[in-house]
Order: sequence, then C-alpha cells, then structure tokens
Amino acid sequence: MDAYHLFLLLFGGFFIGIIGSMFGIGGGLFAVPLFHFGFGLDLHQSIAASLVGIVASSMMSAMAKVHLGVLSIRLSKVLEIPSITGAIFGSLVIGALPINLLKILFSVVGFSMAFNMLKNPFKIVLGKQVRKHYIPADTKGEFADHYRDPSNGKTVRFEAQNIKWAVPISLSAGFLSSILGIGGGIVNVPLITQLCKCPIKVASATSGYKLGITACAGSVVYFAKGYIVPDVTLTFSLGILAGSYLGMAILLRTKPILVELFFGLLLTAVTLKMVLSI
Amino acid sequence: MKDRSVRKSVKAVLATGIVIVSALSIAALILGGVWGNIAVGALLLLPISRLLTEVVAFTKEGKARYALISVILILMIASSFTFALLQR
Repeated sequence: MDAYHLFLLLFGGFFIGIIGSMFGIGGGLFAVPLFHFGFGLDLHQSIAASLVGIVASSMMSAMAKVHLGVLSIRLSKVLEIPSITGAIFGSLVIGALPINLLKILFSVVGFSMAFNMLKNPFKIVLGKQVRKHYIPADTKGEFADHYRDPSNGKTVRFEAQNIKWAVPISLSAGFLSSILGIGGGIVNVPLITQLCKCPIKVASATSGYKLGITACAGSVVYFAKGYIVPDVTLTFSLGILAGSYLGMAILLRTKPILVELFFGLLLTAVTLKMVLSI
Repeated sequence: MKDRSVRKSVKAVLATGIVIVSALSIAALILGGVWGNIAVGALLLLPISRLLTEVVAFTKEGKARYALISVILILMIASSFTFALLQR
C-alpha cells in the first residue's frame, strides 16, 4: 500500500469514526462506497471491511462512554437480541420480498422520524417553547438512569419507556436494515429517542454500544469466509479508533439540540437517497 | 448511575483490548503476513470479551436476566461463525 492510500484510509476512517461515534451510527453508509469505488474492493470485501470498522468504532466509543453513564447498558441488552434476530431473518428472506414496497415504507417512516427530530431545533429558531423528547424521571425504575451533561453541567435523569413496544420494533428495524442495506443506527437512534423517550445523547451512545455486537455477528461470517482484506481493514480501523474517541468528546460537549438537528438532517439525507433509488 | 461495577469492568476490558488491537494492527501493517489475520481476529474478539465481562459482572450483581442475554449473544455469534466455517 502506498502512502497516498494509507493516508486516505486513515483519514477516511478518522472522519467516519467521528460521525459514527457522534450519532451512534455504524458509518457503513460512507465506508462501503469508499472501499468499493475508492479502493476497488469487491462489494463483499467492502462490506466486510466496513463491518470490522463498525466493531472498532463501537468498542472505542463504548470504552469512552460507558463510565460516564451516558449509555444505558440495560436498554442496549434488551434490544440486542431482537435486532440481531431481525437482521438474520432479513438476510434469509432477502430477494423474496417486494423491495420497492419496503423502500416506500421506510421512506414514509424515515421522513416522519426526521420531522420529529427536526421539530425542536426549528421551534428554537422560531422562538417557540420546546418540549423535551425524554421524560425526566427519578432513578428507581429498572430502566431509569442519569448522567452529567458536560455541555451544560446539568444532571440529566431519564427512564426508558415503552420497552414492550421497543422489542418488536427493534426486531423490525434489524429486519429492515438487513433487507435495505441501511445501517442499524439510523433506525435505532430515532427508536430510542422517540419510542423509548431517552435523551438524544443516550440514544446515540446506546445505539453505538449495541451496533458493535450486531456488526461482530456479521463480520465473523465474512472473516470465516476469507473476505476480509487485512491491511486495508486494519488501517481503516486505526483511523476509526482515533476518530471515535474524538467523536465521543464532541458529542458530550455539543448541545443536545444541535445533535438532534444534525441527526435529523442526516436521516433526511438517507431517506431522500432511499426515495431516489425506488 | 446504575450498574457501576459492570461499567468499570467493561471499560477496563475494552481499554486493554483496544491497546492490544492497536499494537497488533501496527505490527501487521509493518510485518504483514499472518499478523494481519491475527490483528483482525483480535479486533473481532473485543465484542466477545465485552459480552463475557458483562456475563461475569451481571452475575456478580445478581442480574441473571442480563447475563443470560449476553450468553445468548455469544452463542449467536459463535454459531454464525461456525456455520460460515462449515459452508466454506
């Protein structure tokens, strides 16, 4: 590998690590085209490298966030199994379903989630009163927790709600992400904020924590089949590790409303891309 | 903050693992050959070691439900790896 490609991989990984760690998404959306078009890897190798990168990103951001209390381990545990099961089921029935119909369905849901996410930032611009997505709670409940937000110095108390609905929806999210080739995070974060009523930072961190396991389940298959190109994957992962650490630091210091705004815009872009591919 | 001891253990395991993986990755980029697969294998072992740590820590805290979820996840990952190896 020459110096140009080495730099490109490290920088690409660094950038994707920042985005992934900030928003709790894997980054496959950016990584797969980078490997496929930028490095000429075939699609399987590109997806394999991207999945290993997601594992690296998730582990680094989990390591950095876990002691701060900004992620809910219990919520992540409850949502992990349905999400993986959905993804496995999706990969089994791929090709047997009307993909365009699913894309239309995702587009409708995606736009409504993006609208909900962007509602508060727009209300602030218009000078209106903002209602919090999450329900402030004491810390006695099974899924209640708190953390100190460094962006404003306040202690944020929250309690995850609607767990009995979150489980089947997480199953569908895993299924959709597998069928449509979208990352899990882009579905998980709105699910955790809007259905489970958790703050955006908790949603992002919990999603990132959960993604590592889902990505690992996929990566080991590619690893066993010999699709992983070690030098490209490892250079990319080194960039990701550094980027994820920085992304976590940025997330913690950014005001929640700005995270909601950027995530809403990202979700709108992903949904638009889906609409254009119908 | 809940599950403080679980969080501490997970952080310690991941921090150690990331240092080892980074060192192995740099070694693989310099030395090449089999080191590449060793480094990728070590990276893919990180989530498994995180799950194992969760199993031990949750069991110590008496939260068997969460420990069981981690055990199921380890089995899911192990079985998908085994099936892929058999298909190869």
